[in-house]
Amino acid sequence: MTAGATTRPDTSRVVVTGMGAISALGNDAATHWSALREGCSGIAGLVHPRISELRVHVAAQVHGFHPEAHFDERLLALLDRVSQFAIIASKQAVAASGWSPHGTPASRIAVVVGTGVGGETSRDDECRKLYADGAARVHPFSIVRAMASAPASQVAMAHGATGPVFAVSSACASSNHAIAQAALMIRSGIADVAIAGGAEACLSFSVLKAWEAMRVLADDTCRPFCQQRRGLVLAEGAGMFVLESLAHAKGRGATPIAELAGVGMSSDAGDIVAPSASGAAAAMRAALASAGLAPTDIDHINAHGTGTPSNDVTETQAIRETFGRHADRIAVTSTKSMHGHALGAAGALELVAVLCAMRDGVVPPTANFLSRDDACDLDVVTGLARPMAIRAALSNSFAFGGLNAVLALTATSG
Amino acid sequence: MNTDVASRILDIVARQSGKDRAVVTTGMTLKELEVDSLEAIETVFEIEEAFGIQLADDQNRTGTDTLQDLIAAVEAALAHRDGPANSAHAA
Repeated sequence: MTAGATTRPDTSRVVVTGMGAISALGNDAATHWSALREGCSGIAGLVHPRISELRVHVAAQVHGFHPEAHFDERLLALLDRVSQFAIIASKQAVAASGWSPHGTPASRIAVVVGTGVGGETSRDDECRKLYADGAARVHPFSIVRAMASAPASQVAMAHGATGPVFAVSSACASSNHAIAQAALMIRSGIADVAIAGGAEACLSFSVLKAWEAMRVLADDTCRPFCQQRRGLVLAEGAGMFVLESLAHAKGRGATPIAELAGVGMSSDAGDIVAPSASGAAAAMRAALASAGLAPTDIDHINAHGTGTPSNDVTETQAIRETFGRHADRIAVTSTKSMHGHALGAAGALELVAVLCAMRDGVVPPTANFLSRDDACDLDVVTGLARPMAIRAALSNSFAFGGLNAVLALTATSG
Repeated sequence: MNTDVASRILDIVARQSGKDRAVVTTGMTLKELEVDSLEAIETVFEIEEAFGIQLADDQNRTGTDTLQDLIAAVEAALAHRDGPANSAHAA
């Protein structure tokens, strides 16, 4: 099955050995997964100090998170919420992997973190002080909190990574593009280990207003692939992973969760918002080719599945274009129905779902599903989670601006 | 139908779509005027700004409503705004 992947030497095969997450569903990967598996949605009433001035009233926010319990006062002053999420998820991932960064030359450790906008709530706060309150100056840490690369730098500092470290920004595909860059660096021999994923925490007043203006937000909940879907639901959170070469994992006796066998990327080069089925299909085909997989090897797809009228129809067409008749044999789900659309963190929160689905042999349902839309005629898992063995899976991210990134995962036989 | 309201809306639609004002009539749809989804959102925004109203999020989402439907939605929003039960949530 994994002919292309398994013919590569162990030094250029990439496995995932640890994962961490913080989301509306829970403040660690196990809680996040447990809720997904049960079909529990984290979408709830938006909590915001200026809620009365907003039309958006639902979101998937991180609650019960106390940063002061995780960071000392001096460090906390430097951290926007997005960096806090990234560091916390990365520490979970490293702990779960059983890997000690001290056991690997620091220059062989990479960090790549995807984020749509970086330290947005810090930027919004300081702009409010400046423009609305008439303040004469802003906080001296404004830049280091807000810069889009702050989460990557902070994760690198937390783990002593001195290899390639950078941020990737491609809107809602940021996580998948970041994970892809990390995997390609390991494949090419630039790094042995990478801490990679995505983080987003951009539910500021100005960003919420901007999303309202786009008229793509659901006013009830997120219902991907469902006839009654009314749009996406904004979210926040982070997902981080320890990726390493199979040789490095074997060398320390680690058990991989799954192999990140391939990545596929494409650009629609068409419309700044309207998705293209051919662009999405090109990314899925590229991921299969990169992994050495045939379309018939894929048992499961964690769809981009935003719940907007156009995405879900276009993604259905793209899956059909890529898989032909085999599309009917693929269990498709959109976990955005539960963790919401965390934008630059979306792919990472979804990769946690894919890895756990493969590990546990169960596909989580698409929650909030009411009735089938004939234009989305895939085998969408609804209701209860579906127990099934998963040989290989894809995780799709298709961003505004036509930026597509797909990850291909294969089961490891140990 | 308030002809002034209708006329102002058709002016905005003509400007946004880049079409000659003379060819823009109330029976047409934005789709027929070759207005894509993003331009439709911008057109609705320009109308909201011009009249100081808030239209529904799914106003003309598909682009297949006629301009007469859009005019009716604006008139309803104006009536709501200027009515006794003043609210930010019109239409």
